[in-house]
Amino acid sequence: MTQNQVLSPRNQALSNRLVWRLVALLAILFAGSHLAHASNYSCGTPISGHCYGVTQWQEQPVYYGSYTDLLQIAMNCPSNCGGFINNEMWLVDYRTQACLSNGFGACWVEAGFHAFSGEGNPYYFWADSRPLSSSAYNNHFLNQADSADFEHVMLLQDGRGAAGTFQVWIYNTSLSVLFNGTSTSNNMSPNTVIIGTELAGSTGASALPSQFQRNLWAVKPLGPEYVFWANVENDEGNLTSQNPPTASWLIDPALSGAPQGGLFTTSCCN
Amino acid sequence: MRATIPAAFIFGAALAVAGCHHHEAQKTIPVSLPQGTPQHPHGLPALAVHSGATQPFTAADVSGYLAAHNLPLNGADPGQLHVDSLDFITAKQAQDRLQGEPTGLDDNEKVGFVTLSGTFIFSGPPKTHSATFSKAYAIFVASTGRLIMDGSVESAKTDGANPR
Repeated sequence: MTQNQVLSPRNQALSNRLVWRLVALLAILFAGSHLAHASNYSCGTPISGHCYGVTQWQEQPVYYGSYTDLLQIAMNCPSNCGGFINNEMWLVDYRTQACLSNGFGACWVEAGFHAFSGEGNPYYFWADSRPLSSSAYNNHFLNQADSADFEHVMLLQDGRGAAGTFQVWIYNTSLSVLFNGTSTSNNMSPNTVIIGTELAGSTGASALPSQFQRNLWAVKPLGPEYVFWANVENDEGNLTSQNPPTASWLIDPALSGAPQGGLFTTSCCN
Repeated sequence: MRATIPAAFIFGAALAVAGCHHHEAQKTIPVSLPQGTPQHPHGLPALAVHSGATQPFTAADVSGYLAAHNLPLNGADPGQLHVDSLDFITAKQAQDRLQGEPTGLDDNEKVGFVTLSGTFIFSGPPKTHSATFSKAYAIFVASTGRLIMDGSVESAKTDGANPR
């Protein structure tokens, strides 16, 4: 290309995308090379609570759903880790009265990858906390994931039938992975979307850099047209990096030419 | 520190190449939902199935598993857990016991529904309490012995027992 040539808007966008991908790849390689060994940390009694490397969005009055593309690289919690490590997305209601009184002080649905102590590769999972006095909290253990799986995670209020229904999907593009869960009797009004890593325990867990891309939120519940109507998360949200887990934006979603929803990464645990 | 310098360099380069923040108006976009038949949950490997026996596994089997592994995601000591009951019921019956929460299995598939007593502590996303319960449940697939679900049964204890 000569100096006088001008890129068309489409080519400029493609060029930007390539640059961002290169930048992200280099950043991940640097971050990965820093993961020499696992270490000790304090994330783990029920009293002290867990540690998080997350970002959260709370700008909208209600989030009817959320979506992310999540690349899962190596993650492990050995048998002596005393807890777990996961990469996931939460859709949370911190304000409805019946949620505030359910013991957790919130209702939510969550989904992602979860590495159990001594179980090797992480498992696909989803869970919910409902505004109920019995069976409020439920975990679903789906299947063991392969390292380097790249999945789509979608949480969405279902407006087609009974109130308080949220659909959960974990799937890949080829649909060789396709899980669907349904949270029922969950009359929450989510006001928060969170993506990132949760760490529990005291030693030995590890996770190479994850990638959370195409971060979206739903502007309306699922209807008969069967579409997730999405807006893009166009800011960094409120970042928490307790180091471990470490969390950062590799590509700020607000930057010109950035991929939809930016590129968020987490890693653990040294 | 070693990682900070290259990371800062990369981020700086990214800013220089890609320019400043954009402020485009939000456009709502349609995202297709996945089509197809979802897979059944396989769960975690847990219990050995006794083929030919009247029951595929027993309450003692469940006790032994929980003593060794704890109830997944329970932050309390597994030594004080007690198996109150083990019922072999259908997935639909299990769903009914859980206030409508589906298992992901076919309605007629058999599961081992276990109720437990003791102290169970579960945690949630940032800025939530750890909730303490005195009753919990676990669901094992009857044909495989794998653990597909667990959770709380009764109300959480009072706020004083539920630290952040």
